[in-house]
Amino acid sequence: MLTTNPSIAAILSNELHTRDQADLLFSMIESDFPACNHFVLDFSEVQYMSRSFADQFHKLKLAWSKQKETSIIAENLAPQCLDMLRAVAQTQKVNNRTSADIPVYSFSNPQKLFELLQSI
Amino acid sequence: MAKIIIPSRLGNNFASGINAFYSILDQINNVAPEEPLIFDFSNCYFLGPFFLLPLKLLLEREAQYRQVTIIPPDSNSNFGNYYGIIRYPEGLYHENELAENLNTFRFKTYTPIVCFPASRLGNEPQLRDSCLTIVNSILKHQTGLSGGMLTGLMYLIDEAVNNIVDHSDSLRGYLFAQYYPSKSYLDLCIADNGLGILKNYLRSGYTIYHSDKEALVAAISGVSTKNRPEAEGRGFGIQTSKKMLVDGLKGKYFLQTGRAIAFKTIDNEQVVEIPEPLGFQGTFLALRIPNIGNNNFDPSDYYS
Repeated sequence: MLTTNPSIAAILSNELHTRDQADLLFSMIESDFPACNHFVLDFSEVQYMSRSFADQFHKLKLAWSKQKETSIIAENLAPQCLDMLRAVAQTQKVNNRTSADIPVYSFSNPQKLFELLQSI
Repeated sequence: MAKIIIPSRLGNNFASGINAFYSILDQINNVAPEEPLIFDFSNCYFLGPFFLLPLKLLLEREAQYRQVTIIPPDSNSNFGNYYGIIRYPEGLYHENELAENLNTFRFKTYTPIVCFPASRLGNEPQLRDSCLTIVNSILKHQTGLSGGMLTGLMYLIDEAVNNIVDHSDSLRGYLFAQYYPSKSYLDLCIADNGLGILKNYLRSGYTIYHSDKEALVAAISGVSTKNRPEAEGRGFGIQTSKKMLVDGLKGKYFLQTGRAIAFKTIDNEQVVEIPEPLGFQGTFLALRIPNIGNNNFDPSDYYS
């Protein structure tokens, strides 16, 4: 088993905002470490992880595990990043959604709409 | 030639800017489609993001169809100075320009009009990430936020920006924020002039929605156009952002797409179909984030 331990903050940034950064991360480690099948990714300098990054990271991690038999371990996660990864893992199934029960109205008179908005 | 007088100032009410913008739309609706428009900012004293950002997009849209002339404010006036610093109406398009002006904005109470790349082509994702990092740095410095409150603010921005990237089919997204230290709140506006929610559902094969109102209800309920088996886990952005902002931070949330608006406050949540002349191409998100300075907030309670 070949193992490597890259620093995410050094590769990307200490703020992880988008899905594209997760895509970039996986394509970089794939091209830089083609023979490696066990990655320990060091998140120690990462201060913030968005839901989009976390969701894409989660999906790619699972896909690599299934399709490439490659394991990805996230190491030294800040509490915020850990919370976010946990949240996306729990919300992968569509049936976890709650449907909104929000009243719907219609306004054809702009003045009435202005009055409504002014009241919020 | 029709002259649109821009109001001199707006009240503190959450919807004052939105209503003032609608008033402009209403005026334009009464002007012949090909008649040139003059937008007169010469009497402006104070205007905020919920008015200025959608107006910027409107100016761009109108300029595609007719002659549009802008009478700017006096550059020696306070508003004229502000108008220049935020780069109204064009905005800042390059992350280098944003980075160069980082120190200017750190000591202001507002961001510039940030026009961030919204596509996934070439190096645009990296440029967008750089923009977001710089915007976060500006807002962090201006507001003194840290800990969970800063994370919450970054979450709200990221969710809105990523929705534009994922769904708008727009080349650019737009962000503008104003911090009010004496009132301890931040007004954040993020918008695009892209497809809007209904067209995005339709192009993804969701033909059950026939109006902006129906599409907005679906989006709020978490029906993602990415709800394919291989792409589960999406569609939580609007729900979780609303919950975090309103239930968690006691803020106010407003989202418009086409002829539908959704708003949520602590005691009121509605989706409303609005008159046709007040429709907005793309999406327009207005967030009032209160309690700036309370750094004990835990955003993780609202992630799912």
